Amino acid sequence: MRVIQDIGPNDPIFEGGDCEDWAQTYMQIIHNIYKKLPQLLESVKTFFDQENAVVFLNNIFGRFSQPSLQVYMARGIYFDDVKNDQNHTFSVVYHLKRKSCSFSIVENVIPTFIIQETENCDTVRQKFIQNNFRDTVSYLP
Amino acid sequence: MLRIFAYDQRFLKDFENKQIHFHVHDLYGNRKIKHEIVNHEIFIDPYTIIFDKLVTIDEKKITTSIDAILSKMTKHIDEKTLMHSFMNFYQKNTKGVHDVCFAQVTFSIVGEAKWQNNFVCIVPIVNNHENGFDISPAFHGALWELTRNERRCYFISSFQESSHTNDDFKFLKQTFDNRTVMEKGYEVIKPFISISNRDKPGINHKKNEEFLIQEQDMFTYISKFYGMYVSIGMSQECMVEQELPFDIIDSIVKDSLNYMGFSPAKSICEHGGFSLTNFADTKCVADIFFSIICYCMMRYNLGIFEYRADLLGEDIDTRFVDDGKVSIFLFIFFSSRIPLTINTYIC
Repeated sequence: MRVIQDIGPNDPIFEGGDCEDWAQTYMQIIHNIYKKLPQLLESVKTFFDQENAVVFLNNIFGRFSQPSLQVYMARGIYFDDVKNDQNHTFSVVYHLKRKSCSFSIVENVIPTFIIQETENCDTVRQKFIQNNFRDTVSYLP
Repeated sequence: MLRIFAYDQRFLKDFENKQIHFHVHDLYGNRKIKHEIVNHEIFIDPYTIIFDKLVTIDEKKITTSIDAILSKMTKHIDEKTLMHSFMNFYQKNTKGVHDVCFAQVTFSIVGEAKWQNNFVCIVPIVNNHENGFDISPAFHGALWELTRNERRCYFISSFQESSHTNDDFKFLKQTFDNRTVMEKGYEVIKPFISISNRDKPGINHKKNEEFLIQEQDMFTYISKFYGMYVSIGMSQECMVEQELPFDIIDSIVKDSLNYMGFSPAKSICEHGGFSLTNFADTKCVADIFFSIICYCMMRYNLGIFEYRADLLGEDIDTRFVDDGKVSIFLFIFFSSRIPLTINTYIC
């Protein structure tokens, strides 16, 4: 668990810690992005000089005011192999579309994402890798 | 000179024959206290100590409080005796005005870098003026060190003082030695600790999974966050509400957008005509973006410190490396790792 302490010039800004710390820090950042969205949109517009980036960011975080998209911190509880109860803290992205809702998990300790794999999703992922990480070897399934 | 404790170097095993140095200083004043070692016994010069005055205790107020507490403790005779002993012992020792000093003792083994300034114990010293000085048994943080004339001998041994031979002290010492005090403390906080530390479901309980879900209570999951036990749920809410500097958020967002394909140097078209804005309404792209924000959150941290290739936030503050080359491998690692750990999950 994170402990309040003075941060020196050589200390990392975000203190390392367990899953709760990272989920907490992540949620803190998400909340801050939402709270400072107008200011951020201005900054992004100047930096990228692209309207698309502003639209994209606004599309994602602008929906926070509606129930269609939210991010929550969650704790999963389970029994391990020897029947000891364990838990893990992570973040979930809540989606609401029409009358159906779903949660996607964002793992915070090791930055990976865990999402439902669909045909559409796979296409996006392939494109994403191709566009951004084409020069590296990827673990393609 | 006052004899505060004795030591037996045989308990250091591998360092039995090494030279060791003790250091004694006043815990609160952080002043060095002169000491001498004679025949494996530590002596200090009490006249080099600057004693701090204790505040006068309102005896009547304490007695009233004790009576109020004891009147509610009718269940266990042991608890009552324990409480009585505590109160009698401390009442006796805090009566009137005393001058007190807590001498903290550390030791170093010469030539052993890992054994420098190790904590040994704290020895309370009370200045009774005309009645001389009163040395309490050495306290090593959890227990009072045993006296030397008892059956077993330890690395540190206290000396039996006449003022500590009463029944109350004997009973208190026994309860500490038997961990009775800790057990009682555990009983008090037991309902609030996580279920892994509570009693396991027995055969008469519901199914394990059912028990686990029904008994999980986020608001009783406590942590020692502000130096005391508080609900994790509440402390997390406070932390989440805490505002971060704009520069940090700005950098993370720009970094994330860059990873998403928006580049200050390139237009979207240069990315093969793939425009993420078309997907911005889809659940999938939103999920990717939130994951990338998480990655950039850590990367922002890495921008300050170089880090080894296998990124794991859990120990991010313990595995810094000084070699700048690591950042290159890091990028490669991320490039290959980030978009790919995709598992199926359900809604």
